[in-house]
Amino acid sequence: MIDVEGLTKRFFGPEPVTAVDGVSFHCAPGRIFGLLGPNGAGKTTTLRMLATLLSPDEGTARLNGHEVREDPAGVRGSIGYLSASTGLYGRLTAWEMIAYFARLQGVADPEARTAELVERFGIGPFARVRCERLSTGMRQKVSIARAVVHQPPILILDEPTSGLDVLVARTFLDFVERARDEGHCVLYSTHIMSEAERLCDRIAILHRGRILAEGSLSELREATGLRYLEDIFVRCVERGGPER
Amino acid sequence: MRAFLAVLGKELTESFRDGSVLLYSIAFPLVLYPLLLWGAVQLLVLQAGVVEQQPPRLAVDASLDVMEALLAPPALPSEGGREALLAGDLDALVEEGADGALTLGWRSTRARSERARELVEERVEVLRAERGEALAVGAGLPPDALCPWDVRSTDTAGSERVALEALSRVIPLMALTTLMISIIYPMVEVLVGERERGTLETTLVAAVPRWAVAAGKLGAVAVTGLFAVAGNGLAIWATLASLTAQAGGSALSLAGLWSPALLGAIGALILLAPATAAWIGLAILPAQSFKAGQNRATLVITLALGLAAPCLSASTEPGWAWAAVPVAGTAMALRGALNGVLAGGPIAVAALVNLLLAAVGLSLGARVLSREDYLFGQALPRWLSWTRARHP
Repeated sequence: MIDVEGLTKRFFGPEPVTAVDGVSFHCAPGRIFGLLGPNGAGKTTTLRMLATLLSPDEGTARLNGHEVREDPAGVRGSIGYLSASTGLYGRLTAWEMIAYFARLQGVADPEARTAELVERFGIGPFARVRCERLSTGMRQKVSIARAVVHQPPILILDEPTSGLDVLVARTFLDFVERARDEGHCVLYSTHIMSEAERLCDRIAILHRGRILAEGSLSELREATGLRYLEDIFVRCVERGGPER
Repeated sequence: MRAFLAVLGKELTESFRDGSVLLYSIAFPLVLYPLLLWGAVQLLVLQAGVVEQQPPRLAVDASLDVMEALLAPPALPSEGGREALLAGDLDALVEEGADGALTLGWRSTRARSERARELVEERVEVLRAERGEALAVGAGLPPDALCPWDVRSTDTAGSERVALEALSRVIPLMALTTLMISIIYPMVEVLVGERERGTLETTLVAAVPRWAVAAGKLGAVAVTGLFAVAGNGLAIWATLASLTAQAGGSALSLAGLWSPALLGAIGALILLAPATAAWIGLAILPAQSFKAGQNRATLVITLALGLAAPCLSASTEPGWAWAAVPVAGTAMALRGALNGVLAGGPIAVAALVNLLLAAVGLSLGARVLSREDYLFGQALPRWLSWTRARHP
């Protein structure tokens, strides 16, 4: 479902930097692939390339059969993208927000689909309230509904629980697990170890643009001889890759 | 088209729910600008009234017949006339040279002096005619056979015509200014504001062609700008009607306004609105904050108004369709920018080129719609004449 091979992104400026350096991984349907790394590791840049917001300098990425450079429209139609910085239109109501994206994504009956999602995510009581007046939890529900309005087979989630309180974050994690159970392919970026341990079928530890280790949690434990993901992560980062 | 309409509808909904957009793009053009115009006219009327009540101070240094001829305006002693004129103690000075030629001194910066000049010129014309006639009769010729002095051409249209011409020059610039100012905030909001809040990213990862996003945003901003111009136009009309009534004239009617020239001018504005939105959009695209975006837009508008004003009067050939060029060009450049294809340099060049094209298109459009200097050069005087004929 997601096939990434040698993905590289460089940013030019006074101090040129290779933000993502030859990253490769694969994620199958019904699986959650975790990208784990500290701030500045290259997680967001990787996900932005997969979401066609950035163009890779080298390498290929194929999502649901669509290559990011050759068929960006096909990629966008196959993904639901959600990040901590993803905003809602404050002056639209929750209903208008979802219906707008339904129309934008070419959903056959936008109003019916909106009604369905409003029901599914419990948005009904505040569906006619402007997004700027919603609580964080309510906003997150609307964001999720917006991301899945076109029923994408792939979900790309970039640190989606940043800034959420425990209860809202927990609800969100439940949603991710349900998505996996429904057969979605989920690419999940986080720096919160407990989330990665709970959710991810496979984990890649990313540091300074390179994948330092990749495998299931048990494989990582076996390879490092350490029990906790945090310890595994720290060891990988300390041994690290070469300086860029 | 589906995506374009969705973006357009969403942007319009958001814009007309935004208090700042309503303030800058609707309330100001509808209320503040006409109020400023009304206030300015009241000030001018007040000033004109004061000038009218003050008789011009005129000095004459000439032979007796000239002095007699110029006695209509009150005359003052001419001693130290030049100094008094320079000091502002005199409004006009007439001097006769050894060869009999008359020199009129006045100050163009003072309304009272202007009025003195008009009075003297009228009298000097009479004097020249009488002298020429006397010379011819003395030589045994018919009275009109000789005209020893140059006959000065004067504007026979009168003050009303001058006022109409002034208005016809001011109104297009006012429409253009309103359009630009009312577009700044919504354009910064839909581009930089959205980027700041992360909502632009949300739209760009949707399965929507980039051109539809760009066109939808431009369209919504252009519609907002046109709303502002229309509101401003109506409010200005109401203000002019009020001022006309105040001056004792008849009320102005909108019915006479629908001349072909004006309809053409509205068409030109409809073309200009998306073009204006597009190059403001291009100019603010690199801005990383709302404030930086507003600063960039203000700078661009200042430059554009500087270019547009002379272009309005300098154009000589028709071809308003050229106004479509910047629309297409900027839409393409914006699409490239959203796709991450264009970097800052090319965007700046594209913005500059389109700015120039917009100015050229505007000026050519102005020319084809009017045989006089400005867009409303014919429409406004015709309209006022028509309304006066209907409401004597």
